Amino acid sequence: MEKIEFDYSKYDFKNSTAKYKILFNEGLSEEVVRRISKLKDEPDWMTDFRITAYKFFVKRPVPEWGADLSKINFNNITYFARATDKKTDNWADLPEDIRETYDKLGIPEAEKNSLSGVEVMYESEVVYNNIKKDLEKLGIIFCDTDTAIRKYPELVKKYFGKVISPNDNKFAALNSAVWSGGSFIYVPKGVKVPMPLQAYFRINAANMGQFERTLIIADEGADVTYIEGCTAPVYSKDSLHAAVVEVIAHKNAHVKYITVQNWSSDVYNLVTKRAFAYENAFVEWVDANMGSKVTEKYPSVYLMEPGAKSNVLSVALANKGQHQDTGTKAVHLAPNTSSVIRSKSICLNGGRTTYRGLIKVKKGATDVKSSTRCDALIFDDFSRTDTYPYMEIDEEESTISHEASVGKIGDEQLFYLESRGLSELEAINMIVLGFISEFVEELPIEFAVEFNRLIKINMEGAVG
Amino acid sequence: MEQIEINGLEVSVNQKKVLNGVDLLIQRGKIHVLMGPNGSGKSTLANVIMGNPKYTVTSGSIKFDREDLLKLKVNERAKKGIFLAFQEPVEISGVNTMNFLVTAYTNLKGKDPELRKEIIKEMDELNLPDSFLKRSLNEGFSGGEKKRFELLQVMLLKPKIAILDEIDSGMDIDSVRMLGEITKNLSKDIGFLMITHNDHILDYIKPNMVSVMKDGKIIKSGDYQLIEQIKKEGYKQLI
Amino acid sequence: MKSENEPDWLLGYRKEEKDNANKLNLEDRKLFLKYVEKESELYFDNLDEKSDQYNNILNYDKDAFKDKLEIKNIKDLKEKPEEFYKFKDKDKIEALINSNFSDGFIITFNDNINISKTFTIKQSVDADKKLTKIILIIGKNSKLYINDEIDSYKDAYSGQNIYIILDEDSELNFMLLDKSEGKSITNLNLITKGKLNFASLFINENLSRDRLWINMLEHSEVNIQEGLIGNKESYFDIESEITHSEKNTNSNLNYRAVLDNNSKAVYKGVIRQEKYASNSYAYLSEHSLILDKNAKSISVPSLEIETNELKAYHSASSQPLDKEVLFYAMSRGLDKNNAVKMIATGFIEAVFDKIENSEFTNTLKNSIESKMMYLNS
Repeated sequence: MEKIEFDYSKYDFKNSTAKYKILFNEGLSEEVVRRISKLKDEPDWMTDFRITAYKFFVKRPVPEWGADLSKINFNNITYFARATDKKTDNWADLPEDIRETYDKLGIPEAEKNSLSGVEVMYESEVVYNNIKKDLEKLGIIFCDTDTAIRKYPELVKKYFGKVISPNDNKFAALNSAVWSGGSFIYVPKGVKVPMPLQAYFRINAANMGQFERTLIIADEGADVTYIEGCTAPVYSKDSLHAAVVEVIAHKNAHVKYITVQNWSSDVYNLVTKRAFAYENAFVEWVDANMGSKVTEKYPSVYLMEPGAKSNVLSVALANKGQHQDTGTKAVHLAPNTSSVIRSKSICLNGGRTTYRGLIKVKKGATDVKSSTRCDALIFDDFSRTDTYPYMEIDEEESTISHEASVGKIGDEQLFYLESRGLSELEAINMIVLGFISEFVEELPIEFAVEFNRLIKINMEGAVG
Repeated sequence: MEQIEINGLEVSVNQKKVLNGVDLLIQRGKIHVLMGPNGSGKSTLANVIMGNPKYTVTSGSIKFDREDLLKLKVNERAKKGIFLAFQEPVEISGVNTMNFLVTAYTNLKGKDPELRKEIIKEMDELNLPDSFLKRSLNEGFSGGEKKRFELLQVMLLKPKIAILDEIDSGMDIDSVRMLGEITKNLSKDIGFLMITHNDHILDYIKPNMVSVMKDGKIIKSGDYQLIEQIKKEGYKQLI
Repeated sequence: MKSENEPDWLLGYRKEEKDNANKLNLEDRKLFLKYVEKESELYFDNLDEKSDQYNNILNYDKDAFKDKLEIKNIKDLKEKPEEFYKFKDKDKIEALINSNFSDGFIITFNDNINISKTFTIKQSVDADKKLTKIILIIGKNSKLYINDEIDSYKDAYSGQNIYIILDEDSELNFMLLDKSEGKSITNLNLITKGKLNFASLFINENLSRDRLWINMLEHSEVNIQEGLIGNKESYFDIESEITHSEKNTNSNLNYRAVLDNNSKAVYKGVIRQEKYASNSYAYLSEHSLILDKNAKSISVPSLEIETNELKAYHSASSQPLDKEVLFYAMSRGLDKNNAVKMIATGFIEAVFDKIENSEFTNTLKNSIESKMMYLNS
């Protein structure tokens, strides 16, 4: 992704992060929004877009229906900073638990530094450049969103803000006003992207933008898989992350979007992700939420035309002090559309997981099939799990089903595995990994291996 | 040869007493059959030897090779060589059957490059389709298939003592015969406590010891001739 | 609320409840506020004092119940009864009914009684409004059958707040049948240490708002069967909240709805298992059969779980008439309307399968069948 090249500071970064520090942390105002736009040298339409969004942000109240967001202090947030200077300068400044996790995950020294933003991995630059050439030959555009506005203005203008309008919700409005960074992907008609697009190395520190804006357009018949995030906990001094992801899957296209979120435990992660699926298109959200203090994220698919399909597979793990409030929306606007949702959640040590799902079938959307299955594992009685499925059915020719279960790990199951020689922790790990196996199967192998390790680290807290 | 010695074992579950002073000996290399009416506590005894946390031992002792077994956790007992074939084997969704077997074996016995081949061979021997290895543990297995899979684990893990909790129930006649043959072969090295409900299996094996349990106690022990007596007179006469 | 014959404490209570109503929302959970409709139709003005004799509402075999119960008219009480303190208002409408009720009773059933004859509450409203507040206290180790039938004419408005305290080792079999042509509101609030078998059938033609709030204490069991048939313009707003507060509690809730024409049902089911509700089991199943493209179904079957010593399941579905089944029925000579009638009737009756009391079963079956006749008209 182009933004890794640290547009302006790539060669200076190693020596001094202070040089390019431009911070706006005196709270937000229309003035600040204009300055951001000017700094980025944006076309007028984008500046106007930001200002309009800012006005919506101010008007809307903080939502109360979900997790507790009352402690967010909007005046205390850094609204714009170069990607490079949010990280620590010093390995020693990283919180203890993060350093420990890096050790447990077996992350090599060099990568540790990159994750913490102390250094940059230039080796991967080379890898990136080679892949970039292959993509260009196929006509695929893959760059950061800031660059896309400059290089492909017509394309961006056509789709930007059309899936998620700036007035959609307070945090989409905030993002629309102050967004920076994020990926822009365009796949031409009939092109199948040969490999999953992702951070070229697992730890794309700059990718963890605070107000990232990602836009993925798959033209007719295109096929693309995108992966974001990483299993190693990402330390961020920022307390609020409000990203927006818009996906457009044109006729017969296939988009698969994989996310593994593991923000450090003081972050509010409030993300708006939505896809429009057109005729016979297929959109998949594969989403794991392991970190952050509070996550509110409901990757959704609007099934716009006949034959559109969606598949949402998600895993949420809430450990001590965490609240994962996640789910999805499947909005059926056309006949002969289908949605499949599978959600697995795990809470322990006082963590809380909440599933919120909306299945909406509008009048006229006949022959709709939707099936949801939510399973929750709860380890103790300090933790809490909720399931709130909403089914709004306006059309009789639709078959909607929903099943949910909540329980703890079965004593019999534990006993069976232990009787075969596994310790209690090993047995718990085996059962929990089995519980989320459907999700892990969707990850590329390196990711899967690390992801399993991350689960095991979390499970250590489960053994009394 | 190592043996399990049970002395004066008293066990409760949910404050209700279920075992009232059991004395029993299970010797390696011998087949010991345990019979008795429903509710007599046979399954409870099997579970307690393995260490099921559901049950509380209130009095008595269980020693294995003169070591106090009650002090050990479930998996530690497995490592010592104790195995329980469950009466109702659990299903664990998402846990791959082959992976489970490989993990259990490697954990107990160490690495073996021929392991997977060995597993497939034993699946065939027990008439279990290889495709089961791709499934989740015990998921979609019929009752008889679950029992044969328990037997496979005995063959694979080669414990010192194997407790078979009604492994013959739900098995068809051919399977029972096969069970008999396999048990006979394995008993040269393994000590079996075979809890049986019906007596078909007894057509195929000749136990070294037979014990009868009732109301949480062993009421009679003897050699295989005891079986004939039970067949003729039922359990009532033994009290 | 005329003041002539009412004791001071009651007047004070009515005022308190009116204040409560002003403070409370229409929904007890923020979660459900987005589905509130027909707000204006739920409000009403002060009720004119009606002096109904209670004989018209409560019906029971005097011999069978002799010395086994005590009925007190709330207006005859000298001070605020302790039972009033056991329940806290959940929403605005409940508070309004508590403030404005015309008939109010406290019925106490003794310990150790087993009566197979049904005790009936019958609320028939010809015109205007009728608001009732009834408290039922059932002693230990008793077994009872209670029936609540609600009916009204088109422009009438019926409101009921029923509070039940069910003591240890007791079994209450309760049937609620609402066939109002006018607006109907029922709020049922239960605290239980015993076993409740509850069946309700809603075949209203107008607006029906029903709340079932159950607080389960140790060793209690709750079996709920709810059926709903909607046609023409009927609107149903149904909420069942079962809270497992203590250990060893079991709940089972089955809901089925048939929705035709322009009818609409909003169904909210919440199962809550609190921290100390270990060893508890909850099952919620909710299924809707939609017969017309103009019918609307909204359902939110939710779970809130705070203990790990439990099992909770729910399953929900919404589906149209199975075309294969319809084809089969018609191929056996039934015309379309009768085929639909047969399938929909079977669908609803299935939810009441487990009811043992034959009087209840007969009443339910007859009501379902006579309602389903709309397909023949």
